[in-house]
Amino acid sequence: MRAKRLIFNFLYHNGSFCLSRNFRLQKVGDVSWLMDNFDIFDFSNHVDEIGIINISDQPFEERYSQTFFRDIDLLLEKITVPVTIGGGVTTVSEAGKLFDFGADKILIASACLRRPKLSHDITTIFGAQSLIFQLDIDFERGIVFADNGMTPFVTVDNLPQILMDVSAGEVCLNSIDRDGSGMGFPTHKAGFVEDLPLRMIFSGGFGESKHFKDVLNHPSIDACCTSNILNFLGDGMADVRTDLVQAGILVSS
Amino acid sequence: MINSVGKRSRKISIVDYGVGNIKSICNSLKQLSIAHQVVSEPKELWRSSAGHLLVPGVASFSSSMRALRSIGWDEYLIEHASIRELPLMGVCSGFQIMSRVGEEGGAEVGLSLIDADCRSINHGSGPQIKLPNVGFCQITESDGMTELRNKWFYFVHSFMVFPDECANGYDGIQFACVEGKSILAGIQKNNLWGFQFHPEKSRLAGLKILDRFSEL
Repeated sequence: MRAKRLIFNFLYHNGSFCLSRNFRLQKVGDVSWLMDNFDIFDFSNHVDEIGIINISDQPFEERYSQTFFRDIDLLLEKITVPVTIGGGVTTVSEAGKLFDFGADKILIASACLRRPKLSHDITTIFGAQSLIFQLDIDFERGIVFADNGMTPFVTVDNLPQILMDVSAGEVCLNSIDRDGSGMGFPTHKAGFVEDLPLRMIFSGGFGESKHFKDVLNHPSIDACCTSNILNFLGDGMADVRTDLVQAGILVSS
Repeated sequence: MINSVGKRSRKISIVDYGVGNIKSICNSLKQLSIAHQVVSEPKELWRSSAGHLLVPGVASFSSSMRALRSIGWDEYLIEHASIRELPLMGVCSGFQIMSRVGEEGGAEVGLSLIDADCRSINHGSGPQIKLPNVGFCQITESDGMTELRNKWFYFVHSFMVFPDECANGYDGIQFACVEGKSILAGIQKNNLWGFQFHPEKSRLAGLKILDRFSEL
Protein backbone atom coordinates (compact mmCIF):
# COMPACT_ATOMS: atom_id res chain seq x y z
CA MET A 1 0.00 0.00 0.00
CA ARG A 2 1.14 3.51 -0.74
CA ALA A 3 -0.10 6.30 1.48
CA LYS A 4 -1.34 9.72 0.53
CA ARG A 5 1.17 12.38 1.50
CA LEU A 6 1.16 15.51 3.61
CA ILE A 7 3.86 17.98 2.66
CA PHE A 8 4.90 21.04 4.61
CA ASN A 9 6.78 23.83 2.85
CA PHE A 10 8.92 26.32 4.71
CA LEU A 11 8.99 29.60 2.82
CA TYR A 12 12.42 31.20 3.25
CA HIS A 13 13.16 34.80 2.32
CA ASN A 14 16.51 36.44 3.07
CA GLY A 15 17.04 34.85 6.46
CA SER A 16 13.41 34.70 7.58
CA PHE A 17 10.67 32.10 7.45
CA CYS A 18 7.46 33.57 6.12
CA LEU A 19 3.73 33.26 5.78
CA SER A 20 2.28 33.95 2.37
CA ARG A 21 -1.14 35.33 1.47
CA ASN A 22 -1.86 35.53 -2.25
CA PHE A 23 1.94 35.55 -2.69
CA ARG A 24 2.37 38.56 -0.39
CA LEU A 25 4.85 37.75 2.36
CA GLN A 26 4.80 38.23 6.11
CA LYS A 27 8.00 37.44 7.98
CA VAL A 28 7.46 35.21 11.01
CA GLY A 29 10.92 34.52 12.43
CA ASP A 30 14.44 33.39 11.71
CA VAL A 31 15.90 29.92 12.12
CA SER A 32 16.62 30.49 15.82
CA TRP A 33 12.98 31.39 16.41
CA LEU A 34 11.92 28.28 14.51
CA MET A 35 14.25 25.95 16.41
CA ASP A 36 13.38 27.53 19.76
CA ASN A 37 9.64 27.23 19.26
CA PHE A 38 9.18 23.94 17.45
CA ASP A 39 10.48 20.38 17.76
CA ILE A 40 11.43 19.75 14.14
CA PHE A 41 12.47 16.13 14.80
CA ASP A 42 9.02 15.38 16.22
CA PHE A 43 7.39 17.35 13.41
CA SER A 44 9.00 14.92 10.94
CA ASN A 45 6.80 12.20 12.39
CA HIS A 46 3.68 13.99 11.25
CA VAL A 47 4.58 15.02 7.72
CA ASP A 48 5.67 12.87 4.79
CA GLU A 49 7.93 15.39 3.13
CA ILE A 50 9.30 18.83 3.85
CA GLY A 51 9.94 21.54 1.29
CA ILE A 52 12.19 24.54 1.68
CA ILE A 53 11.24 27.13 -0.88
CA ASN A 54 13.61 30.05 -1.25
CA ILE A 55 11.36 32.86 -2.42
CA SER A 56 13.91 35.63 -2.52
CA ASP A 57 13.93 37.42 -5.88
CA GLN A 58 17.73 37.50 -6.07
CA PRO A 59 19.85 35.60 -8.61
CA PHE A 60 20.85 32.06 -7.62
CA GLU A 61 24.25 32.83 -6.07
CA GLU A 62 22.89 35.54 -3.76
CA ARG A 63 19.64 33.72 -3.08
CA TYR A 64 21.49 30.58 -1.99
CA SER A 65 23.93 32.40 0.26
CA GLN A 66 26.05 30.95 3.04
CA THR A 67 23.38 32.17 5.44
CA PHE A 68 20.75 30.10 3.65
CA PHE A 69 22.87 26.95 3.73
CA ARG A 70 23.80 27.49 7.38
CA ASP A 71 20.17 28.03 8.41
CA ILE A 72 18.84 25.06 6.47
CA ASP A 73 21.65 22.82 7.71
CA LEU A 74 20.27 23.30 11.21
CA LEU A 75 16.85 22.11 10.03
CA LEU A 76 18.18 19.17 8.03
CA GLU A 77 19.92 17.77 11.09
CA LYS A 78 16.50 17.23 12.66
CA ILE A 79 14.52 16.07 9.63
CA THR A 80 13.96 12.35 8.97
CA VAL A 81 11.76 12.62 5.88
CA PRO A 82 12.61 13.67 2.31
CA VAL A 83 13.44 17.30 1.67
CA THR A 84 12.71 19.28 -1.47
CA ILE A 85 14.50 22.56 -2.11
CA GLY A 86 13.33 25.04 -4.71
CA GLY A 87 13.14 28.60 -5.89
CA GLY A 88 15.18 30.37 -8.56
CA VAL A 89 16.79 27.28 -10.08
CA THR A 90 17.43 27.91 -13.79
CA THR A 91 20.21 25.49 -14.80
CA VAL A 92 21.30 21.88 -14.34
CA SER A 93 24.39 23.12 -12.53
CA GLU A 94 22.28 25.05 -10.00
CA ALA A 95 20.10 21.98 -9.45
CA GLY A 96 23.27 19.97 -8.90
CA LYS A 97 24.43 22.39 -6.21
CA LEU A 98 21.20 21.88 -4.28
CA PHE A 99 21.43 18.09 -4.60
CA ASP A 100 25.02 18.30 -3.39
CA PHE A 101 23.84 20.34 -0.42
CA GLY A 102 21.34 17.69 0.60
CA ALA A 103 18.13 18.12 -1.39
CA ASP A 104 16.32 14.91 -2.24
CA LYS A 105 14.24 16.68 -4.85
CA ILE A 106 14.29 20.04 -6.59
CA LEU A 107 11.23 22.16 -7.19
CA ILE A 108 11.23 24.36 -10.28
CA ALA A 109 8.44 26.57 -11.60
CA SER A 110 9.22 29.41 -14.02
CA ALA A 111 12.39 28.02 -15.59
CA CYS A 112 10.69 24.78 -16.68
CA LEU A 113 7.61 26.67 -17.80
CA ARG A 114 9.78 28.72 -20.13
CA ARG A 115 12.27 25.96 -21.05
CA PRO A 116 10.80 22.46 -20.78
CA LYS A 117 14.16 21.14 -22.01
CA LEU A 118 15.65 22.05 -18.62
CA SER A 119 13.40 19.47 -17.00
CA HIS A 120 14.59 16.79 -19.42
CA ASP A 121 18.24 17.72 -18.80
CA ILE A 122 17.77 17.47 -15.03
CA THR A 123 15.79 14.23 -15.02
CA THR A 124 18.22 12.56 -17.43
CA ILE A 125 20.99 13.04 -14.89
CA PHE A 126 19.18 12.85 -11.56
CA GLY A 127 16.18 10.71 -12.47
CA ALA A 128 12.53 11.67 -13.01
CA GLN A 129 11.83 11.39 -9.31
CA SER A 130 14.24 14.22 -8.58
CA LEU A 131 12.09 17.01 -9.99
CA ILE A 132 8.82 18.61 -8.94
CA PHE A 133 7.42 20.97 -11.54
CA GLN A 134 5.32 23.65 -9.87
CA LEU A 135 2.69 25.69 -11.63
CA ASP A 136 1.52 28.88 -9.91
CA ILE A 137 -2.07 29.30 -10.99
CA ASP A 138 -4.75 31.90 -10.42
CA PHE A 139 -7.66 29.49 -10.80
CA GLU A 140 -10.22 32.26 -10.47
CA ARG A 141 -8.85 34.03 -13.52
CA GLY A 142 -7.66 30.86 -15.26
CA ILE A 143 -4.09 32.09 -15.68
CA VAL A 144 -0.74 30.37 -15.08
CA PHE A 145 1.89 32.79 -13.79
CA ALA A 146 5.67 32.83 -13.89
CA ASP A 147 8.16 34.71 -11.70
CA ASN A 148 6.53 34.19 -8.29
CA GLY A 149 3.12 35.19 -9.56
CA MET A 150 4.35 38.38 -11.21
CA THR A 151 4.13 37.49 -14.92
CA PRO A 152 0.99 36.10 -16.58
CA PHE A 153 2.23 33.31 -18.84
CA VAL A 154 -0.56 31.19 -20.34
CA THR A 155 -4.16 30.32 -19.68
CA VAL A 156 -5.02 27.07 -17.90
CA ASP A 157 -6.37 25.69 -21.18
CA ASN A 158 -2.75 25.19 -22.20
CA LEU A 159 -1.85 23.19 -19.11
CA PRO A 160 -2.34 19.65 -20.45
CA GLN A 161 0.11 20.37 -23.30
CA ILE A 162 2.61 22.05 -20.97
CA LEU A 163 2.47 19.10 -18.62
CA MET A 164 3.13 16.69 -21.47
CA ASP A 165 6.16 18.75 -22.62
CA VAL A 166 7.84 18.82 -19.20
CA SER A 167 9.66 15.83 -17.72
CA ALA A 168 9.07 15.68 -13.97
CA GLY A 169 8.22 12.98 -11.49
CA GLU A 170 5.62 15.13 -9.83
CA VAL A 171 3.58 18.20 -10.61
CA CYS A 172 2.49 20.68 -7.98
CA LEU A 173 -0.48 22.92 -8.75
CA ASN A 174 -0.13 25.93 -6.48
CA SER A 175 -3.20 28.11 -6.13
CA ILE A 176 -2.29 31.80 -6.05
CA ASP A 177 -5.87 32.89 -5.39
CA ARG A 178 -6.28 30.58 -2.39
CA ASP A 179 -2.70 30.94 -1.12
CA GLY A 180 -2.78 31.61 2.63
CA SER A 181 -6.55 32.10 2.59
CA GLY A 182 -7.49 29.03 4.64
CA MET A 183 -10.46 28.55 2.31
CA GLY A 184 -9.36 25.23 0.82
CA PHE A 185 -7.90 24.30 -2.56
CA PRO A 186 -10.16 24.96 -5.59
CA THR A 187 -10.27 21.27 -6.55
CA HIS A 188 -13.39 21.82 -8.64
CA LYS A 189 -11.31 23.91 -11.06
CA ALA A 190 -8.55 21.33 -11.45
CA GLY A 191 -10.54 18.52 -13.02
CA PHE A 192 -8.15 18.42 -15.98
CA VAL A 193 -5.65 16.43 -13.91
CA GLU A 194 -7.84 13.33 -13.86
CA ASP A 195 -6.58 11.83 -17.08
CA LEU A 196 -2.96 12.87 -16.72
CA PRO A 197 -0.42 10.09 -16.03
CA LEU A 198 1.38 12.26 -13.49
CA ARG A 199 1.81 12.36 -9.74
CA MET A 200 -0.12 15.40 -8.55
CA ILE A 201 0.36 17.63 -5.52
CA PHE A 202 -2.18 20.32 -4.69
CA SER A 203 -0.94 23.34 -2.76
CA GLY A 204 -2.59 26.44 -1.39
CA GLY A 205 -5.56 27.36 0.75
CA PHE A 206 -5.49 24.55 3.30
CA GLY A 207 -6.88 25.87 6.58
CA GLU A 208 -8.46 22.87 8.28
CA SER A 209 -8.56 19.07 8.13
CA LYS A 210 -11.62 19.03 5.92
CA HIS A 211 -9.68 20.76 3.14
CA PHE A 212 -7.05 18.00 3.17
CA LYS A 213 -9.75 15.31 3.23
CA ASP A 214 -11.58 16.86 0.29
CA VAL A 215 -8.44 16.80 -1.85
CA LEU A 216 -6.96 13.46 -0.76
CA ASN A 217 -10.25 11.66 -1.32
CA HIS A 218 -9.67 12.34 -5.00
CA PRO A 219 -7.98 9.25 -6.50
CA SER A 220 -5.81 11.30 -8.88
CA ILE A 221 -4.25 13.43 -6.14
CA ASP A 222 -1.19 12.06 -4.37
CA ALA A 223 -0.40 14.80 -1.90
CA CYS A 224 -1.42 18.05 -0.23
CA CYS A 225 1.02 20.81 0.56
CA THR A 226 0.70 23.66 3.03
CA SER A 227 3.13 26.32 4.16
CA ASN A 228 1.13 27.89 6.92
CA ILE A 229 3.63 27.94 9.79
CA LEU A 230 1.31 29.42 12.37
CA ASN A 231 -1.55 27.04 11.60
CA PHE A 232 0.17 23.74 10.89
CA LEU A 233 3.61 23.69 12.49
CA GLY A 234 3.67 22.16 15.98
CA ASP A 235 0.64 19.91 16.51
CA GLY A 236 -1.25 21.11 13.44
CA MET A 237 -0.13 18.39 11.04
CA ALA A 238 -0.46 15.70 13.72
CA ASP A 239 -4.10 16.71 14.17
CA VAL A 240 -4.71 16.68 10.42
CA ARG A 241 -3.15 13.21 10.16
CA THR A 242 -5.37 11.90 12.96
CA ASP A 243 -8.44 13.33 11.25
CA LEU A 244 -7.45 11.75 7.93
CA VAL A 245 -7.05 8.33 9.56
CA GLN A 246 -10.49 8.68 11.14
CA ALA A 247 -11.90 9.61 7.72
CA GLY A 248 -10.48 6.40 6.25
CA ILE A 249 -7.78 8.04 4.15
CA LEU A 250 -4.61 5.97 3.96
CA VAL A 251 -1.68 7.86 5.48
CA SER A 252 1.57 6.44 6.79
CA SER A 253 2.22 6.00 10.48
CA MET B 1 37.72 11.92 4.27
CA ILE B 2 35.37 13.64 6.70
CA ASN B 3 35.08 12.00 10.10
CA SER B 4 32.36 12.19 12.66
CA VAL B 5 32.80 10.65 16.06
CA GLY B 6 30.02 8.58 17.54
CA LYS B 7 29.56 6.49 20.64
CA ARG B 8 29.86 3.15 18.80
CA SER B 9 33.15 1.47 18.13
CA ARG B 10 32.12 0.46 14.62
CA LYS B 11 32.28 3.06 11.92
CA ILE B 12 30.22 3.25 8.74
CA SER B 13 31.95 4.59 5.66
CA ILE B 14 29.65 6.35 3.21
CA VAL B 15 30.58 6.21 -0.45
CA ASP B 16 30.56 9.68 -1.97
CA TYR B 17 30.46 9.24 -5.73
CA GLY B 18 28.95 12.59 -6.52
CA VAL B 19 25.36 11.57 -7.17
CA GLY B 20 24.02 10.38 -3.83
CA ASN B 21 22.47 12.36 -1.03
CA ILE B 22 25.20 12.09 1.57
CA LYS B 23 23.83 14.64 4.00
CA SER B 24 20.62 12.87 4.95
CA ILE B 25 22.54 9.64 5.60
CA CYS B 26 25.08 11.51 7.74
CA ASN B 27 22.36 13.29 9.68
CA SER B 28 20.61 10.00 10.38
CA LEU B 29 23.81 8.35 11.62
CA LYS B 30 24.50 11.43 13.72
CA GLN B 31 21.09 11.10 15.35
CA LEU B 32 21.97 7.50 16.15
CA SER B 33 25.43 8.47 17.45
CA ILE B 34 26.98 6.05 14.97
CA ALA B 35 30.52 6.98 13.95
CA HIS B 36 30.80 7.54 10.24
CA GLN B 37 33.01 8.96 7.55
CA VAL B 38 32.41 10.13 4.01
CA VAL B 39 34.88 8.63 1.57
CA SER B 40 35.34 10.19 -1.86
CA GLU B 41 37.99 7.91 -3.31
CA PRO B 42 38.36 4.14 -2.92
CA LYS B 43 42.13 4.29 -2.80
CA GLU B 44 41.76 5.37 0.80
CA LEU B 45 40.10 2.02 1.53
CA TRP B 46 42.27 -0.37 -0.48
CA ARG B 47 45.01 0.23 2.09
CA SER B 48 42.87 -0.07 5.22
CA SER B 49 39.58 -1.90 5.42
CA ALA B 50 36.44 0.22 5.46
CA GLY B 51 34.50 -2.05 7.79
CA HIS B 52 30.87 -1.16 7.09
CA LEU B 53 30.25 0.51 3.74
CA LEU B 54 27.07 2.29 2.71
CA VAL B 55 26.27 3.28 -0.89
CA PRO B 56 23.56 5.95 -1.07
CA GLY B 57 21.82 6.87 -4.28
CA VAL B 58 19.42 9.28 -5.86
CA ALA B 59 20.54 9.15 -9.50
CA SER B 60 19.71 6.86 -12.40
CA PHE B 61 21.36 3.43 -12.69
CA SER B 62 23.55 4.46 -15.62
CA SER B 63 24.60 7.79 -14.05
CA SER B 64 25.43 5.96 -10.83
CA MET B 65 27.54 3.30 -12.53
CA ARG B 66 29.38 5.83 -14.70
CA ALA B 67 30.15 7.92 -11.63
CA LEU B 68 31.34 4.89 -9.66
CA ARG B 69 33.54 3.68 -12.52
CA SER B 70 35.09 7.09 -13.13
CA ILE B 71 36.76 6.97 -9.72
CA GLY B 72 37.28 3.23 -9.43
CA TRP B 73 34.57 2.55 -6.89
CA ASP B 74 33.15 -0.36 -8.90
CA GLU B 75 36.28 -2.46 -8.38
CA TYR B 76 36.53 -1.63 -4.71
CA LEU B 77 32.87 -2.41 -3.99
CA ILE B 78 33.27 -5.87 -5.52
CA GLU B 79 36.47 -6.40 -3.52
CA HIS B 80 34.77 -5.21 -0.34
CA ALA B 81 31.62 -7.31 -0.71
CA SER B 82 32.79 -10.44 -2.54
CA ILE B 83 36.45 -10.89 -1.62
CA ARG B 84 36.71 -9.36 1.84
CA GLU B 85 33.07 -10.23 2.59
CA LEU B 86 32.55 -7.07 4.62
CA PRO B 87 29.15 -5.48 5.32
CA LEU B 88 27.79 -3.49 2.38
CA MET B 89 24.49 -1.68 2.30
CA GLY B 90 22.98 -0.10 -0.80
CA VAL B 91 20.10 2.35 -0.73
CA CYS B 92 17.81 3.05 -3.70
CA SER B 93 20.05 3.27 -6.80
CA GLY B 94 22.92 2.28 -4.50
CA PHE B 95 21.02 -1.01 -4.13
CA GLN B 96 20.00 -1.27 -7.77
CA ILE B 97 23.61 -1.12 -8.99
CA MET B 98 24.29 -4.39 -7.15
CA SER B 99 22.39 -6.03 -10.06
CA ARG B 100 23.90 -7.41 -13.25
CA VAL B 101 22.39 -4.80 -15.57
CA GLY B 102 20.15 -1.77 -15.35
CA GLU B 103 17.93 -0.04 -17.88
CA GLU B 104 17.46 3.43 -16.40
CA GLY B 105 19.27 6.09 -18.43
CA GLY B 106 20.29 3.49 -21.04
CA ALA B 107 21.45 -0.11 -20.63
CA GLU B 108 24.40 -0.32 -18.25
CA VAL B 109 26.32 -3.15 -16.63
CA GLY B 110 26.12 -3.23 -12.84
CA LEU B 111 28.27 -4.76 -10.11
CA SER B 112 26.68 -8.24 -10.39
CA LEU B 113 26.76 -8.74 -6.63
CA ILE B 114 23.25 -10.21 -6.72
CA ASP B 115 21.52 -12.43 -9.27
CA ALA B 116 19.09 -9.84 -10.47
CA ASP B 117 18.47 -7.20 -13.12
CA CYS B 118 17.11 -3.70 -12.65
CA ARG B 119 14.21 -2.80 -14.91
CA SER B 120 11.20 -0.49 -15.06
CA ILE B 121 8.69 -1.19 -12.30
CA ASN B 122 6.17 -1.86 -15.07
CA HIS B 123 8.41 -4.38 -16.83
CA GLY B 124 6.66 -7.60 -17.76
CA SER B 125 3.11 -8.62 -17.07
CA GLY B 126 0.92 -7.59 -14.17
CA PRO B 127 -0.64 -4.28 -13.17
CA GLN B 128 0.89 -1.13 -14.66
CA ILE B 129 1.25 1.63 -12.10
CA LYS B 130 1.75 5.36 -12.41
CA LEU B 131 5.45 6.22 -12.22
CA PRO B 132 7.46 7.20 -10.33
CA ASN B 133 6.36 5.34 -7.23
CA VAL B 134 6.66 8.12 -4.65
CA GLY B 135 5.75 8.12 -1.00
CA PHE B 136 5.56 6.00 2.09
CA CYS B 137 4.68 2.37 1.29
CA GLN B 138 3.90 -0.35 3.78
CA ILE B 139 5.94 -3.56 3.82
CA THR B 140 3.44 -6.36 3.37
CA GLU B 141 5.79 -9.35 3.14
CA SER B 142 9.02 -9.74 5.04
CA ASP B 143 11.09 -12.86 5.36
CA GLY B 144 14.18 -12.51 7.46
CA MET B 145 13.80 -9.05 8.93
CA THR B 146 10.30 -9.70 10.23
CA GLU B 147 10.29 -6.50 12.23
CA LEU B 148 9.86 -4.60 8.96
CA ARG B 149 6.44 -6.12 8.29
CA ASN B 150 3.63 -3.52 8.31
CA LYS B 151 6.13 -0.68 8.74
CA TRP B 152 6.11 2.32 6.40
CA PHE B 153 9.15 3.38 4.39
CA TYR B 154 9.79 6.11 1.86
CA PHE B 155 10.12 4.99 -1.75
CA VAL B 156 10.92 7.19 -4.72
CA HIS B 157 11.76 5.26 -7.90
CA SER B 158 10.64 4.22 -11.36
CA PHE B 159 12.91 1.19 -11.67
CA MET B 160 13.43 -1.74 -9.36
CA VAL B 161 15.45 -4.89 -8.84
CA PHE B 162 14.00 -8.10 -10.26
CA PRO B 163 15.73 -11.08 -8.61
CA ASP B 164 16.06 -14.33 -10.53
CA GLU B 165 13.31 -16.86 -9.96
CA CYS B 166 15.09 -18.52 -7.05
CA ALA B 167 14.71 -15.84 -4.38
CA ASN B 168 15.09 -18.31 -1.53
CA GLY B 169 18.85 -17.86 -1.63
CA TYR B 170 18.45 -14.74 0.43
CA ASP B 171 18.54 -14.41 4.22
CA GLY B 172 15.78 -11.87 3.97
CA ILE B 173 13.53 -10.40 1.32
CA GLN B 174 10.79 -7.80 1.64
CA PHE B 175 7.99 -6.61 -0.59
CA ALA B 176 5.46 -3.81 -0.63
CA CYS B 177 2.25 -3.96 -2.61
CA VAL B 178 1.38 -0.83 -4.58
CA GLU B 179 -1.77 -0.64 -6.68
CA GLY B 180 -1.81 -4.41 -6.88
CA LYS B 181 1.82 -4.67 -7.94
CA SER B 182 4.47 -6.37 -5.84
CA ILE B 183 7.43 -4.03 -5.30
CA LEU B 184 10.74 -5.45 -4.12
CA ALA B 185 11.62 -3.44 -1.03
CA GLY B 186 14.83 -5.05 0.14
CA ILE B 187 17.06 -8.09 0.29
CA GLN B 188 19.70 -9.32 2.71
CA LYS B 189 22.24 -11.98 1.86
CA ASN B 190 25.17 -12.61 4.17
CA ASN B 191 27.11 -9.34 4.31
CA LEU B 192 24.99 -7.66 1.60
CA TRP B 193 21.98 -5.49 2.47
CA GLY B 194 19.98 -3.61 -0.12
CA PHE B 195 16.88 -1.47 0.19
CA GLN B 196 14.85 0.16 -2.54
CA PHE B 197 13.37 2.57 0.00
CA HIS B 198 15.30 5.19 1.89
CA PRO B 199 15.86 4.23 5.55
CA GLU B 200 17.40 7.64 6.14
CA LYS B 201 14.13 9.33 5.12
CA SER B 202 11.75 6.92 6.84
CA ARG B 203 11.47 8.32 10.34
CA LEU B 204 12.20 6.03 13.29
CA ALA B 205 11.52 2.80 11.37
CA GLY B 206 14.31 3.73 8.96
CA LEU B 207 16.71 4.77 11.69
CA LYS B 208 16.30 1.33 13.27
CA ILE B 209 17.52 -0.30 10.05
CA LEU B 210 20.64 1.86 9.99
CA ASP B 211 21.21 1.05 13.65
CA ARG B 212 20.90 -2.68 12.99
CA PHE B 213 23.25 -2.50 10.01
CA SER B 214 25.88 -0.88 12.20
CA GLU B 215 25.71 -3.96 14.45
CA LEU B 216 26.18 -6.42 11.56
